[in-house]
Amino acid sequence: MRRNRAMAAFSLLLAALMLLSACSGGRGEKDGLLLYYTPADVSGGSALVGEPSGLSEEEATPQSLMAALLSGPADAGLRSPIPQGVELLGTVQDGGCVTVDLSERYGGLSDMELTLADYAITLTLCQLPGVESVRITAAGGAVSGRAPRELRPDDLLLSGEPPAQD
Amino acid sequence: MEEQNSTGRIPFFRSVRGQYVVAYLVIIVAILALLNTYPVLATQNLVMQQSKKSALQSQTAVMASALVELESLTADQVSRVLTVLGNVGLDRVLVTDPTGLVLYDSAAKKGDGEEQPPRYALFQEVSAALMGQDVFRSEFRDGVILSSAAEPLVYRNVVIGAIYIYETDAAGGALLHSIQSNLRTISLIIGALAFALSLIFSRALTARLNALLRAIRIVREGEYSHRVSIKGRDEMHLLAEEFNQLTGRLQTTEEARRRFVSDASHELKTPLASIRLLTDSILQSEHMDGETTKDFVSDIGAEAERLTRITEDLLTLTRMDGEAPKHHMEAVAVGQVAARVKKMLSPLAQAVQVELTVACEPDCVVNATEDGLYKIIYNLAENAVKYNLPGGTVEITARFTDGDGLVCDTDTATHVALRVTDSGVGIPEEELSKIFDRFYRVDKARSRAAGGTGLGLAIVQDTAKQYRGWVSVQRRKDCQGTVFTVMFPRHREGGEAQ
Repeated sequence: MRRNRAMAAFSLLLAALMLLSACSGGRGEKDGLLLYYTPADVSGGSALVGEPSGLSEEEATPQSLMAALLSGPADAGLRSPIPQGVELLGTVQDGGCVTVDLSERYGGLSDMELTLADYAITLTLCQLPGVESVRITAAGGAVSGRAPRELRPDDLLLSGEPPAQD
Repeated sequence: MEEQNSTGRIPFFRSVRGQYVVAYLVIIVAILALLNTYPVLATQNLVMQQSKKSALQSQTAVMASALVELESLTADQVSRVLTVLGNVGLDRVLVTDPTGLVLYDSAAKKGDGEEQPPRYALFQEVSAALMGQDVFRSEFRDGVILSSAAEPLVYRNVVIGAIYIYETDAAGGALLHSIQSNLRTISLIIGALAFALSLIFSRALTARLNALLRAIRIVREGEYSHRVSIKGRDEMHLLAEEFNQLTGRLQTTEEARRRFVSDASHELKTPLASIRLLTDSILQSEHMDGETTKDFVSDIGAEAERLTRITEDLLTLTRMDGEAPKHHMEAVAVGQVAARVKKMLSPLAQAVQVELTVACEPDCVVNATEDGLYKIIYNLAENAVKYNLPGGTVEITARFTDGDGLVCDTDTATHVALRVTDSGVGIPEEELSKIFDRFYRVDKARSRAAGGTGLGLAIVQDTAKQYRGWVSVQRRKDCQGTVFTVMFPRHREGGEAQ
C-alpha cells in the first residue's frame, strides 16, 4: 500500500516536472529576441551580449525593439552602450535595411563607444525577419562626422580566437 | 532483526568493521581530493597566470612600441611593421584603430586576391584595451593553454588603436595535462590501496572482537571453562583478560553452586533413605517385637529431627545469601548470651565429661541481634563440646581488643574478641581453610554420629559478617585443641559500632 502511494507520488512529480519543462520551453520561445548590451566585467568573449527582450519575432517591430533596447538592461552585470537620454525619433524600413533615427545626443559618441552602440542596435534589429542591415542617423544627420553606412552583423569579429585552419 | 542478532550477522555498513572502513576511506578520499585540486590549481596559476602573463605582455609591449612610432595607423604601415617583427610563435596578432576597425589581422584569410571587407573587432579584450586597459586572459582547455593579451596603442596620451595577441601553448598544456593525469592515476592507485588496506586492518581489529563475541556466546551456553586468547598489549587484550577472570569467577561460583546442590541433596537424601529403610523394615516384618519396633520408630524420629535441623540451617543460610537482613541490630551483652549458651549446653557437657566455662569482661557489648549472637556462640561451643575428649575443657571468653585481636585497654579498644577454646581432638592444619565451607566435615562419621549437619560453621561465618565481624580458627599451640575467634566491632554509646 505504502509502495503504491510512493509510486503514485513519484509519477505525479515526474509529470509535473515534464509539464514545467514544456511550459518553460514555451516561455523560452516567447523570450526569443535579444537586446544587446556590453558586459560590465572583462571575462572574455564577445563585447556585446544578448539579454532576453520578452518579445517574439511575430510581435516585435523595429520600434518596439528599439524602445526595449533604449530602456536599458535588466541584468546588473550588463550596461547599455547607448547613453541615457537618447530618444528614438523614428525608424524606416526599406527592404532589408532599417534606418534608425536617434536624437542628437547619440552624435556625442565616438570611437569604440560609437562602434559598440552602433552594433548593439544592428545586432538587435537584424534578428527581425527580413532585416539584413541597419543605418543609424542622429537627428537625421551623420553621426560623429561619419557618413551613414549600412551596418551588418557580418562586419563583426566577436571572438579573438583564430578561425580553425582548413 | 531478532534472527540476525541471535546469529550475530550485522550488515556490513552497520558493523564496527564497516564503520572503520568508511571512516578510513573518507579521510583518504578527502586527502586525495585536496591533492588533486590544490597542486593542480597552484600549477595552473604558476604556469599560466604568472609566466604567460609576463611573456605575452612583454610581446605586446614590444609590438606596441614599434607601432606607436608610426604616429597614425594605416593598414599598410601596420602590416609592414609587423611583418618585420614577425609573429614570434603567436597564433594571432590583431591591430585596430580607435573605433575597433581591424587594420591588421594575421589570421585573416587571404586568397583569390580578394580585398577583405572591413571588420570591427568587437570582443572584450579589444574593447577594454581601447578604453585604456591592459588585458590578459589565460585558460586551460582541452589539454591546451589558451592565452591572450591586449594593450592600447597610445601616442601622446591619445589612444590611437589597440593591439591584441593570441597564443596556443600545446606544450605547456600537455605538461599540465600530464600532471593532472598522473595525479589522477596516483590517486586512483592510492585509493584502491587504501581500500584494500582498510579492509585488511579492519579485519585484524574485528577478528579480535569477533573472537571475544564467540567466547561470550560459548560461555553463555554454559561452557564456563572456556577462555579467550587475544594477543597484544592494547585495550582488546585487557578486555580479554578481564573476560577470562570474569569467566573464572563464574566457573568457580557455578562449581560451588553445583557442589552445594549436590551436597545438600545428598545430606537430605541420607536421612530420608534411613527413614525409608526403617519404615520398610517395620512394614515388611510381620513378627517384629514391640521393643524393636520402638527402637526403629525412635531412629525414624531422630532422622526426622536431623532432617528438620538440616532444613532449618539451609533456610538460615539461604536467607543470609539473599537480600540484606531486615532485622534491627541492638546493643547485646556478650557475657549474658554466653551464660545462656552455657546453661543450655551444660547437660551435654556433663554427659561427655567436658568442663564448660565462661569468662567475659564486663561491658563487652556489640551491635548484633540476640538470636544471631546466641547462634554463633552456641554453634562454636556445641562443636567444642562434641569434638572433645572425656575430661577436656571448653572455655568461652570475651575481651576488648584492637583490630588485630590483641588485648588492650577498655578506652582504646575498637573490637570485642569472642573466643571459644577447647582441648578437643583438634583440626588438621590442611583442613583449617575448608571448615567454614558448607557441608564440609573433617570427620564425617563422628559428625553424623554427633547429629551434625555440616552447616554450623558456615552459619557462624555468615552471621558474623552480617555484624561486620569475622571469624578465624587456629590450632592450640600449648596442647591439642582448637581456638575459634570471632571479632566484632565494639558498640559505643551513641548508637553505631566502631
